[in-house]
Amino acid sequence: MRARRLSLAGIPTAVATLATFVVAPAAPAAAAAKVSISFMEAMSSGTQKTALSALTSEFEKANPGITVQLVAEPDYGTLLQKEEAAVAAGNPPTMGQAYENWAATFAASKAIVPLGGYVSGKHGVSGAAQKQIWPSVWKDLYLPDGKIWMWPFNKSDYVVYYNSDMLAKNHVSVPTTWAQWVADGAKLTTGADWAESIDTGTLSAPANGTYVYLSMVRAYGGTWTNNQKPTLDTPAAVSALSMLQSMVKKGYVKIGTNYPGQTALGAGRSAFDISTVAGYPYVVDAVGKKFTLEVAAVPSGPAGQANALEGTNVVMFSKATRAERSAAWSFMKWLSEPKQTAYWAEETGYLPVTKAALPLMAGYDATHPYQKIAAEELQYATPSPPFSWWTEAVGQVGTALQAALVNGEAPAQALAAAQQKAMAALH
Amino acid sequence: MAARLAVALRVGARWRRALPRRPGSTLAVVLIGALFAFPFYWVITTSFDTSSEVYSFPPRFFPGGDAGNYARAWGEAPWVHYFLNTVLIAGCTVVLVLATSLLAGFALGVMRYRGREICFVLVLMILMVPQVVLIIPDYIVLDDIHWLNTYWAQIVPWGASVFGIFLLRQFFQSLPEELIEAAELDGASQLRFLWKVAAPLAWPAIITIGLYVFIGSWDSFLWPFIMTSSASVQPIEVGLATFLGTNGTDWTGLSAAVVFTSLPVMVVFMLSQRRLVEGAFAGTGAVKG
Amino acid sequence: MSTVVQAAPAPPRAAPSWSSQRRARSRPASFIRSGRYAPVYLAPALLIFLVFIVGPSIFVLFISFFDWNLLNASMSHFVGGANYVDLVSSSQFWQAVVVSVYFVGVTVTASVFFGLGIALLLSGAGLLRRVVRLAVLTPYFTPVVATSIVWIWIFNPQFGLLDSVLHIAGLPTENWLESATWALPAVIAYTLWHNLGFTVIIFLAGLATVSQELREAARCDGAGRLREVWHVVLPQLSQVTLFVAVITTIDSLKAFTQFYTMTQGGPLGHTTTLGYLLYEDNFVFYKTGPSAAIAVVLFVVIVAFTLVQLRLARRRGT
Repeated sequence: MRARRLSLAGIPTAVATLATFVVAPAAPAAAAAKVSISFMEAMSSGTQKTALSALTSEFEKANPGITVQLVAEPDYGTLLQKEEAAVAAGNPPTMGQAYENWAATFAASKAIVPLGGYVSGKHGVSGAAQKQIWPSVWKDLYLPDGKIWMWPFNKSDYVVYYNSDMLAKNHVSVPTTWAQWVADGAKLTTGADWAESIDTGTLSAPANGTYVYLSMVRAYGGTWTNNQKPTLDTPAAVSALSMLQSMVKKGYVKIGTNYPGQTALGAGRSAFDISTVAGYPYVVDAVGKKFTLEVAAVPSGPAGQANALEGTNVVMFSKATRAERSAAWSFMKWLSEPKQTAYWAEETGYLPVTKAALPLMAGYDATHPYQKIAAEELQYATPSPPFSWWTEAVGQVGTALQAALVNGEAPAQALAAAQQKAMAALH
Repeated sequence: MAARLAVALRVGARWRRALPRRPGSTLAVVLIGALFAFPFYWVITTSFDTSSEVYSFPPRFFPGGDAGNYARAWGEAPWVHYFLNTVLIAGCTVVLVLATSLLAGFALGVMRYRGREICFVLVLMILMVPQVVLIIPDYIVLDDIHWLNTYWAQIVPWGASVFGIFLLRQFFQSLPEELIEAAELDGASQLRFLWKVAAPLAWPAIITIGLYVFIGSWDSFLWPFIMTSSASVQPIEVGLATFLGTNGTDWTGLSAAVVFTSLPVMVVFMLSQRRLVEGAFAGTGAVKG
Repeated sequence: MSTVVQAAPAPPRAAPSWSSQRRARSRPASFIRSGRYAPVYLAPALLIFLVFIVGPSIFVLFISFFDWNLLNASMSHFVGGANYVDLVSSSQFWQAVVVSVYFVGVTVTASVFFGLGIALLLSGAGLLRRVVRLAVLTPYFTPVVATSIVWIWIFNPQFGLLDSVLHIAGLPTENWLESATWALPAVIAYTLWHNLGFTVIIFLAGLATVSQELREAARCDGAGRLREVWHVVLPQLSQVTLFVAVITTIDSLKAFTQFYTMTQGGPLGHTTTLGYLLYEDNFVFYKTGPSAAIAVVLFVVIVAFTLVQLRLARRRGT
């Protein structure tokens, strides 16, 4: 077994090299011989699960030559482990969901193949269609080597969910800037109520709060990375964290785990919950009919608006045969087409990856204004940096947040420590 | 020893005839019961709340009347199928563990040969390997023997238990010499002696091992997720995990599912409590050697 | 009943303790005791261990000397003892050692102490005790992944059961799972709630063989309840206690799921045990070589722990 493992080693390299020359499938997938592909994903519950199954069977109906086996994992942590184990065993799925930093790690180990050849190939995506894809989403498909390695799938970003009754009662309007958010916090924190609950995340598990803070850093003019290195202790980062820290100290913001924002907002105790648009069904459930729930864009800072791009892309693993790859490519491309991505968005709350889907969603957006707000926010959304070391860097951000917000350490000091550890993880 | 075991068993039956108790101890018993049961009671309360009622303060201490969570949770996954899978996997694991433990326990507890002690120490050391790190190597092994996504992958790797071997070895060590002599006079073979004499005497230990292994299998979390991928062979944890979404937690659905997945086991335990506890009672024979 | 009482205090046979005592009376001629087929009897268990534990463990030992690329083995290279050197010089590792010792120490002590205490209270007749025994054992049957999530809810600082109760009682409340001080005790509380039932059953089992005669005699002598437990019950339970201690030590050194669901190692590594650190390095940060080194160290630690316990027990017991 061990021998086999080692002897396999050369194969992915060869396959990966080969893959760069593969331009496109010779014939439309439908006409090809029967081919079966597998898709490892984490859309294991609720409407995410049902919508993906529905789309998959529709695709199979339209492409009788292809069968798609969905392999659902309960969460992203398990998904990652499963993908790693499968790659390590030399038996990966055909395609899988992946975050940018996973893709970077997979690519560095030659476990996935670049998709550029497919995108520009005979059955690729036309220039016009490419332009319709949101620029931030498009940019997110590349790794630092300048090649396309991923294809967009379930994208989301952050919005502010708020209790408009509570705001009205306290004569507060929706904050459009972070400074206003702080001022509102003071007015809203009365008696048993407060402004917002956030989850800082931990070293091994970043949370919504980690990325909300990172959006704040961008809004204050800071960066996450520069010149392929982490920049966690910029002056902007220090001011954003100092602001958060004072909010926590004054009791405007509380720290919790397991979607604390949803909980506190749903209970009618806190006014805001800044979390991803994909959490919309859960927020609606938590709120029920207790008060009027509304949605707004994430506040801006001195340097303008900033948001974080969430959700995953799909990657193609390098063990697949040529026929499997072309089938996988037609599936991932099909999923991203306007009609399908619109259906996906309406069912799950994720965002359509292409602007071309918006006209199809006009009716839905009229009744669900949050979708439009979130989709428009995409232009300000920064994708997760596509470096394998980002996993540890963002973990250090979570650690710095805990140090400053839970332990009361000085923000500059906490961030300097995080930066130092993130730099140490570069190699 | 057999006589002593029988006595222990009867003493087990006799604890019913308790000594006079102080009122303080009854109060303590009630308190302990409340402490352990309350989280569970609270799960039941939550399971009858609507999603928005969960987030109310102060929390409600009495169950509401909304059975909708049960309907929704029940529709979320093929529970009966998952449940049967779990029972099948846990049951087969227990049987396999008992078989391997009886044989190895016999070899380490009854047989006499050079190297026996070393063998035993080596087996004990296996208990100490941290499992987390074995997941990927084991995945590779299971892939090589084409067992991924099968029942086998969930049964065989757990089919030998150091705990089981240890307990039975202790038990077999204390088998009275007279029994062995009698068996030799009868000309019984080793296997026959193990099956007809030693194993029946060890049933209390067997019950303890069975309970421990069954629960371990019932509880396994990462393993089935990594080693299997289709619902046809997956256990109940897979169903429970569907409530832990990536964008929120469905507390009410989860609570309802916890209730109806734990209920069958509770009922079984309630019906077998006397047997089980009395079995474990005599299990001390095994522990004390 | 009288026969029972008469028979029960039969002198306990010279109990061969954990450290197996070789029997003087074993006869070399015995064919039941013959070790001729021992390999055959051991084979099934050993085969399973070999394939799924020993083999993979040797592999782990092997890669602990490499900068190992999990996803593509050909890209790995040998680094000698560097992973171990890095490990012992990292503060994260030593913090994890402290957290592990804390978790194991408290969990084991509490399991023995409460397990025995509760067993003493619950051994007896009556519907009440039967119901409470059921209540104590039930958590043990619930899947950790599901009920640990329920406990997160209990520990919720604003809406959880615990803080509500404290609030009503006028006591200070706490953000349990986000507190450097309280996060680990919170996980321990859950662990005890879940696992204590098994310990109690084992102790109940042990109590049944404690001589009732001696207990009654002690009582006639006017010994208080505590003294009776201390002087009569405990000495007879030493093997059971040792058994519980070893099993809970090993279980708690391996504990993982509740950390994964409840705290993810936070806040600031205050619940990062060696087991969790191992997971983090291996699966989150792809540091396969260093995590293998942790596994090797963890193995050595568990072996040492167990040996010390057995040594102590031997000194006390025989």
